[in-house]
Amino acid sequence: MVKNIVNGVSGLIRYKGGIAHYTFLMHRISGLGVLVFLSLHILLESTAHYAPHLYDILNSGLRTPVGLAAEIIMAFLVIFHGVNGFRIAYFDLFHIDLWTPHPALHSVRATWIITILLWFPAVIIMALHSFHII
Amino acid sequence: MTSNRRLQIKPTLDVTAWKYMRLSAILLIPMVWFHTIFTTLIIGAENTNLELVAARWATIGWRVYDILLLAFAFSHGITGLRQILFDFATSTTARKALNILLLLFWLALSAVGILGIIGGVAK
Repeated sequence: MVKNIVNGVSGLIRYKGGIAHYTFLMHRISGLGVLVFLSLHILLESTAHYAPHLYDILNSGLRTPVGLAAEIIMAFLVIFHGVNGFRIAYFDLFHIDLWTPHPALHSVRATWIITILLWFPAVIIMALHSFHII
Repeated sequence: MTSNRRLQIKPTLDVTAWKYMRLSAILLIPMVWFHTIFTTLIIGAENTNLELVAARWATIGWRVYDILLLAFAFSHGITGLRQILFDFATSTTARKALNILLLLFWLALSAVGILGIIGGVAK
């Protein structure tokens, strides 16, 4: 078990698969990040029912510079996971023929470009909210 | 050129999990994006408070939407975590233990969230 983890993690780092490899790793990292966030999010929102007096107090933690930074990072992880996840699901379910080196590599590059293009406006809008401009 | 061949695959738990990840992903992309665009870009974290949650949950449709979103997103996340852990835990014993732990974690947090939404904002 421990040997598997050591081998697995060192293999994940040492394997030289370029951008496609980083995309695979990022899908897992972003997935884990979103799952941790989602678990906390379920608990925080649940206080609306179980402990309503705590809801606004806990929520005010988001109205801090750290809260804004966390929100911006989460936005990147969610957008990346969604764009890349759509690519994987679409290829696997409807276009298995696109899993050949050239189309697959193009789609990996497109994934990062689309992610960044969607992320930038989200960051700007979240910052504007945070500084009470909108 | 490749030709299409149909193979019969025995629907084990892992095959079902593989399919579930893809199908729930297709469903989750519009659902999560609508949810996050609405809550973080249109309303904004600055303006989120208990009153607003109460106002939203006054409509049954919002509650149904939130329950479905929680159910699909959290089960997708737990299945994904299982897939990652199974890459490292390869023995039958470890996998059985992980299956039980993940099932308990999934049921517990889903119950907390879903019962909270059904109960609504406590007065």
